[in-house]
Amino acid sequence: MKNELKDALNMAFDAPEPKNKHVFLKNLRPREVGMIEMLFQQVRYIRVSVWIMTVVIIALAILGSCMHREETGELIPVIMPFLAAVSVLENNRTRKYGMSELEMVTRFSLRSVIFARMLILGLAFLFMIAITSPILVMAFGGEMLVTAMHMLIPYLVTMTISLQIERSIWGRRLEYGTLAIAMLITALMVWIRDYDMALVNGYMEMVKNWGVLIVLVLAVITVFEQWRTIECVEELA
Amino acid sequence: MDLENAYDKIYRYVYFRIKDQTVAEDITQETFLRFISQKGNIHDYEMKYLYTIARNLCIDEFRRVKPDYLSEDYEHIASAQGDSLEEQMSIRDAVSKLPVADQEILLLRHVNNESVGTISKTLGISRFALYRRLKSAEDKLRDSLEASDYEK
Repeated sequence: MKNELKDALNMAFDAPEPKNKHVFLKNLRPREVGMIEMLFQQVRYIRVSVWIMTVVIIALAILGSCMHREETGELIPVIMPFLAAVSVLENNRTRKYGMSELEMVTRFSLRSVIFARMLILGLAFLFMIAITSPILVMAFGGEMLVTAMHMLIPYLVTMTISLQIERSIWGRRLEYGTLAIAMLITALMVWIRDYDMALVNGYMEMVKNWGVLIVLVLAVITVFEQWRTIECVEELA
Repeated sequence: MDLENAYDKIYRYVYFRIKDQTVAEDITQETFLRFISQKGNIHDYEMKYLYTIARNLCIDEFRRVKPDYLSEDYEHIASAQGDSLEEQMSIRDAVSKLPVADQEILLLRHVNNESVGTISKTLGISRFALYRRLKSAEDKLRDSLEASDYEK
């Protein structure tokens, strides 16, 4: 359309200046948002890569079970450190930039937002383990609890170390240091499996006998580390 | 797009339909408040929702009371001076000869600069139908303005 016509239309649809616009916009306040609603809103801000990785692990468990590939049961615990790394990186991003939550921190503190995200990721991964464990047990046998512990231990170990290192000075400098830790733990798991079966058998026995206790201790340490991470938020934000 | 710009667009749209400054401003503000009450947050606003709310509020207003169209409209134009007043009157006459639906499309597309997607969703028509109606409205307006020697 010609510019003259556009100008003509602007003139034709000209409206008198609104009188109360600035006062209204200044006083525009969002309605109160509850904790549950805030959690759902935060789900949108978590990167797609996190969800993709979760779905990939579930898909691997289903595919491996359908194809009767026994190594699936070993492969999934080996991937778990990367899931922990992705989770820590996601929290790191939240804390470091605080951008996508900017709108939320006007109503909630940044600490609450980070806590909400940690909670969402933790629940999502627990849900993933709750789905994957029965699939593996049905396909390859074994005890459900032990299978779940096999997945949880590498995850929690990576989380604990990553959260500690992330708070350190060089951890803040090395943005993807968490991934290096995940790779190290995975490599260690693969190396032990290939070169020292006695150690593997000892580990399996330990998980069978003390798995729940180990997971509980690691979970407490992880929660403590996350709490310490949240405590640091104000000084880093 | 900032909130102020969105406010101006909705206000212009409502004023086009209601032709009463005070009522138009009330409806504009009610539009934003209803959006917040539904979505909880004005920062994630989408123009198509705001237009839809504004449109429905205008329809409610029409049902409630038939607005006194022309008085304030011409009062507003009368604030313009000399040639500008004449020009504005002739353009308004040309636009007013178009069907209201065509005027609405021209306003949304060329004055408020909304995307075809937003307009088609606001009006509940397909993109193809919108393109066809927009072209037809532009042709009619051009003819009307040429007839009144606007473009000479």
